[in-house]
Parts: sequence; C-alpha cells; structure tokens
Amino acid sequence: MKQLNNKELLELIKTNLKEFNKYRRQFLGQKINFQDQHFVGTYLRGANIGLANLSDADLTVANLLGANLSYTTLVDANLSFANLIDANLRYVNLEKADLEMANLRWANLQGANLKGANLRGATITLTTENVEAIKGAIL
Amino acid sequence: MNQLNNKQLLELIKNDVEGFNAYRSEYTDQEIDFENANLYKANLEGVNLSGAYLKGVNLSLAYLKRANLEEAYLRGAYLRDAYLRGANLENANLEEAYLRGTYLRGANLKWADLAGAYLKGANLQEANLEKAYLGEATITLNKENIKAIKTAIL
Repeated sequence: MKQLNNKELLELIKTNLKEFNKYRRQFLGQKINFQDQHFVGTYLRGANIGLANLSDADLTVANLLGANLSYTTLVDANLSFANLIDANLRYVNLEKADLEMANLRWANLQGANLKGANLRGATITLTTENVEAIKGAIL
Repeated sequence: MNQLNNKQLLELIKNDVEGFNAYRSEYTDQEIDFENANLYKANLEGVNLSGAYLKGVNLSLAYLKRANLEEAYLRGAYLRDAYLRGANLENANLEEAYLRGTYLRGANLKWADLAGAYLKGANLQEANLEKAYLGEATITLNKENIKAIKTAIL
C-alpha cells in the first residue's frame, strides 16, 4: 500500500474503515490531520484515529464505539450525542469540546484534558481515572 | 395466617401488597427469596421487601414508591424505568444492577453498593447516597445527579 495524504485518508476512513485501520498499522508514524472535517453520524466503530488532529471536527452522533482516540487532539470538536462506549480516550485533548449527551460508558479517560469541555447529560463510568479527568469539565 | 413458601409469596405480592406486608409483620424471621422472579410492571407501592433476596429479579417498570428495600440483595436486578421515589434502599446490594431510566428521586441509598451498576438516564435528584459505593457505575451527568453523588464513594 502506498502512502496517502490527508484528503485520501479522509475518503478512506469514510468508505473503508477496515482498510483505514490496516493503513494505520502500516504507516504508524504518519501524522493525520482531520481538522475541521465533517463526520456527522459517521460509522467509525473501532477506528484507529489515535494521535490524529481532529480539532474543530464535527463528530455529532458519530459511532465511535471501541475506537482508539488516545493522544488525539479534539480541541473544540463537536462530539455531542456521539457513541463513545468503550473508546480509548487516554491522554486525549478534549479542551472546549462539546460532549453533551455523549455516551462514554466504559470509555477510558485516563489523563484526558477536558478543560472547558461540555459534558452535560453525558453518560460516563465512574472509575478513579475518569472522575479525575472530568474535574475541569462543564457539568 | 398459614406460613407460605416463596412461590406462594410471589403470588401474594403480585396481587395484594398490603396482605404481603401483613404476612411479613407476622413472620418476621422468614427469609424471602425471589431470585430471578418476574415482577415486571408490578404495582408494589409501599411494599416491605427489606432484607429480601432479589438477585436478578425483573422489576422493570415496577411501581415501588416508598418501598422498603433496606438491605435487600438486588445484585444484577433489572429496574429499568422503575419508579422508586422515596424508596428505602439503605445498605442494599445493587451491584451490576440495571437502573436505566430508574426514578430514584428522594430515595435513600445510604451505604448501598452500586458497583458496576448501570444508571444511564436515572434520576438521582435529592437521593441520599451518603457513603454509597459507586465504583465503576455508569451515570448520566447532570446537576442533580452530580450533587447527589458528592457524598458517595467513587
């Protein structure tokens, strides 16, 4: 598989998630930039978007069940009503992100930055790490 | 009143809560075992199920206003959308219980064990959760619920 640019990767993640994850395994060090992109209602179950830049992205109602978002930048992103059940959100930057009504059951928020993030109506699992992470959020 | 077995008591509770409570007042030492019983949509207002063994019981949509469930064993019980306003659940075991949309406003959950319980959409407004254990429980974050869990152990 040849190396793809951000535009091509955006097309790939929306049309063939399995291939996208395969690509990421092959090009481990590539920095992905999906800043300001539109993923409303997109099926991203199990997607590997760790370390990517998704600042200002619109992920409203997106299905991110079990997705890997560790170390991802999601500053000002819209994740309202998103399904983040069992997602890996370790060390994610969610500063000022909108997570209203999002489902974070069993999501791991260890070390996440939620400063100024909106968590009103969101559902979370009360682990020690998650409780610590949500301290700076708007509840 | 003759002594009844658990099967007979299950029939009694479904049809006559007052009679069931009167029975419990008479046979105070009898242990109640309704494990995995189906009490879906049952009208159990003011029922006395204190200390009862209710593991896996289905109480979804049951009406349990002011019910006494003190020290009841409700591990893995289904209480989806059940109405428990003002119920007494002090020291009850609710580990892994399914409490989605359950109305617990003003309920007493002091010292209750809610480890791993699923409380999405549950209403905990004015509930007493003093020293209740909520480790790995899943809850919906809103002002009322956050206020209620402040005295709980996470």
